Amino acid sequence: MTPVLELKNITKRFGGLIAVNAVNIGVQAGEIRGVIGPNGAGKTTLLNLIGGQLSSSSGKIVFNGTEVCRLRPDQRARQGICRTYQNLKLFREMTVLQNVMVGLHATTHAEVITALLRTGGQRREEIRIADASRRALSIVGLEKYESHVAASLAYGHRRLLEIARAIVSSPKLLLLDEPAAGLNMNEAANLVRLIERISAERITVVLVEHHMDVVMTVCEKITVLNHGRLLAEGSPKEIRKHPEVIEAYLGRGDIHAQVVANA
Amino acid sequence: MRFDQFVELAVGGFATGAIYGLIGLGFSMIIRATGILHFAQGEVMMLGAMFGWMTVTWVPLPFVAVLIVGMMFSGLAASALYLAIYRTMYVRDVPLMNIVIGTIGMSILLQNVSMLIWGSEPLAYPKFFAIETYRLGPVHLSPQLVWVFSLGFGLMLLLQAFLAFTRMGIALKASAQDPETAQLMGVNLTRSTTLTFAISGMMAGAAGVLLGSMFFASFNMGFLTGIKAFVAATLGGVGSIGGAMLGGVIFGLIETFSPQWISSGYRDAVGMVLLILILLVLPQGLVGLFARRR
Amino acid sequence: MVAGPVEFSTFQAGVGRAAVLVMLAIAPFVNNQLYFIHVMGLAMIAAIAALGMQLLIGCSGQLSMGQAAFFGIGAYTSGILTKDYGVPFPVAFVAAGLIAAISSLALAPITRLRDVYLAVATLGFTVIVFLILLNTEWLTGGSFGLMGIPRPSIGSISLSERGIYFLCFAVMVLIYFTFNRLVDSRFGRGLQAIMLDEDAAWSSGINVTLYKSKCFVIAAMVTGFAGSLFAAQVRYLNPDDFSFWKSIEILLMVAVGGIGSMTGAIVGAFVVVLLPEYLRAVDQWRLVIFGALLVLFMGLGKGGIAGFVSLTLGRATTILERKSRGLIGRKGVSQ
Repeated sequence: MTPVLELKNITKRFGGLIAVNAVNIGVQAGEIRGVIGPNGAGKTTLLNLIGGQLSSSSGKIVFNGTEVCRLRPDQRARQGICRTYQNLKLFREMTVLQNVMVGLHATTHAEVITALLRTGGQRREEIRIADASRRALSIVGLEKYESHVAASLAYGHRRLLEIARAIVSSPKLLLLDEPAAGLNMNEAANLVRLIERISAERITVVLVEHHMDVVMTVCEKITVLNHGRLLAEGSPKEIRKHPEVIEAYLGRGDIHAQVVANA
Repeated sequence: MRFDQFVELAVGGFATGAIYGLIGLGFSMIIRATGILHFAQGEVMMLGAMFGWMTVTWVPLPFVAVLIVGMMFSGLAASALYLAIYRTMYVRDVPLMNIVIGTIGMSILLQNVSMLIWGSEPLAYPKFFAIETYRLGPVHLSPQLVWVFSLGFGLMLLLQAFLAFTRMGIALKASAQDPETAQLMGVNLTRSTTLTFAISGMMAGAAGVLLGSMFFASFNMGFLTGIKAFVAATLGGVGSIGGAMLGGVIFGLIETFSPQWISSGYRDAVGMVLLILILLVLPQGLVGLFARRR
Repeated sequence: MVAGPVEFSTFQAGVGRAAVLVMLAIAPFVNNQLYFIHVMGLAMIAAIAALGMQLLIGCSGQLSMGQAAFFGIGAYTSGILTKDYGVPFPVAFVAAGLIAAISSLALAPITRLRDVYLAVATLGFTVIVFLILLNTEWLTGGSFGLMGIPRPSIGSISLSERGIYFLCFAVMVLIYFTFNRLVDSRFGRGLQAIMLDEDAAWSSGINVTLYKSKCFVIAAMVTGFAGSLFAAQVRYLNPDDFSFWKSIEILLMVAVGGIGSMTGAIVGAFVVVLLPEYLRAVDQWRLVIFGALLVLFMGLGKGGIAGFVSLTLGRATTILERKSRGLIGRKGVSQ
């Protein structure tokens, strides 16, 4: 089966530094793919390349049969690629509901003229936007907070909010950048269930994560990067026992290595 | 154009360039250290010119002394601006945009207060330099221009040396590049930022005295010249002092030679068009261009 | 501190706004002095320009110092068309806005510049336009100015001072409500998103550059309209009225009124235009006061007068918040 997302020989150079080195990845539709690796392996850079925040130095990215390398982030969003950020990029002073509503910009159309004329179409669209946003909030479990200002939310809830914003437009591909960072055990378990719910909606998920419990539990397949290169790929079980993966983590004195080996 | 005309114009261009460079490097230093585009930088220059004029009107001093006095005063003025106003805004956690708009307000304030203090008539500096031109073969060089150009570039080179070789200077560069780390290393940020403002103020003040001695001092001499100095800094590369020097020279030459091609009414427009072009096409300036090639 | 478009949500505020509008509507009848009506007209023209500026700085985060250029382009377009070519005012008015909008397209690439660089680039544009106005004597009269601009007329009856007043009033009110409506929409939401986090806006599907450009063009057009009214109001144009000082004045109006508040823009415009009238005695201090005001207001945060009032009322929220809290999708979204 053709993968829904293909990275063909993707390379990203920053001056003399090669952050991502000729990486080839194929993700099937509906898959939950984890991307792990020691710090500095190029995971976030990879995500930025897929999301369009960075453009590759060479190589191709094919999504749903279309080459997306030249597309801006907003264009990729319209193609169905949505993402969250490692350091949270919420619209802090908007309400929770408004944050999610912005996520629908990718699939809605009312612009200046229609806004001014308040056509029937525009009004109906606004209703649809609000309804879809509420649905997304209930998927992540934040429906009670809809009129709270985003900045006032607890950290764990803010992470959920960003996910809600990313899924409201029913994307085909969801990129999660360390969604479990800073979450306690309960919240992490919650996150796993959420990702499974999202996957059930036929959304392909690619997540970069350090939290091994989450990765090993929820991912169907894991890609391991090291120094910008693809180190290994396989099921959680295979990766857990993979000698080079363990070495990559252990060799750097990484505590994650222990977790990987014992997960 | 004859050769001697060319050289004479070129010297004029270099002199103008020195002035733009002196003011422009102040822009660069402040932006690099704080992110603030100091709209009132031209007014600091003007204050230097005014203080210089006042000094020399009270006490007939040799030119270099006037220059130093003017520099001291404008350095103090700039530090005062920072400590009293910009820093207060910064401490109150006001968005950067506000501080920049605040500098616009300072610019208006300083211009008009100066007008109230010194009047709206231009103030003439006494003649410091011999009227007789230096002669280099067929070329007649105005002593004034030569002095302006030499002193201006001399000062800028001194500054470069200071930044490269003295402890204070190196600390200054460090805090501009990475304030957090510098702080961790024991650099007092407030002090180094004040020093940054003081130095840019002094350089601008020098430009003011030089410019004043070339033409005259007036309350509104800072505004347009300030913008043009910014153009020079941007051309060279914002944040780079060497860039400001380079940009200053190039822009000074462009402006001096431009009446050859366009009508004098549009002379100021040259700088503006150049500014827009640079910002759009080459935002890192010439220095950035060279850095990339490497 | 609230980022993005601010409006007052209380019923009292709505009544307050209506009261102000009513007062403005009856003012020329209450105070018959021609000079008063004239100055109030100028204030409303300024308010229109301030509204445009607010769209730029308060709603899309673009510190443009170029509004004076569009003001001038609109004024001269309208003035020249009505004076030299006998074009009826409504056509000249529309032309003024269109030409200003088209000339702003020349600056379109500028919208991708960051804050301060945008400011300087637009400032440069203002200087360029000023110089063009000054040097094309054959067209604009150069430093002698453009004299004898006719009053707008319906048939053979030309508008009185009061007529112009109401014309300005009508345009101001129309643009005020139009902008409020614009901001209270998906487009406005996108603008606020851009102001709060540009990267997240991009990845949510917003073409940030396009949105900013649209604001830029709309603001230019509206300011062009203001220029046209200005030409009809004062009937004599001089390039000095359209230098970078004018841009700074417009910035001052928004800063004083409150960055982010459309109502504030109008308030700020009135303050900036009317204050000198009451401070005639200290006219030489006028600009000093303005400079000081600018520094002061900027030091106090973005609030300006609108912010201050809202703090006192304690109930300012963004328009969008109001909408989401209240009546999304149902009829009766209040304004």
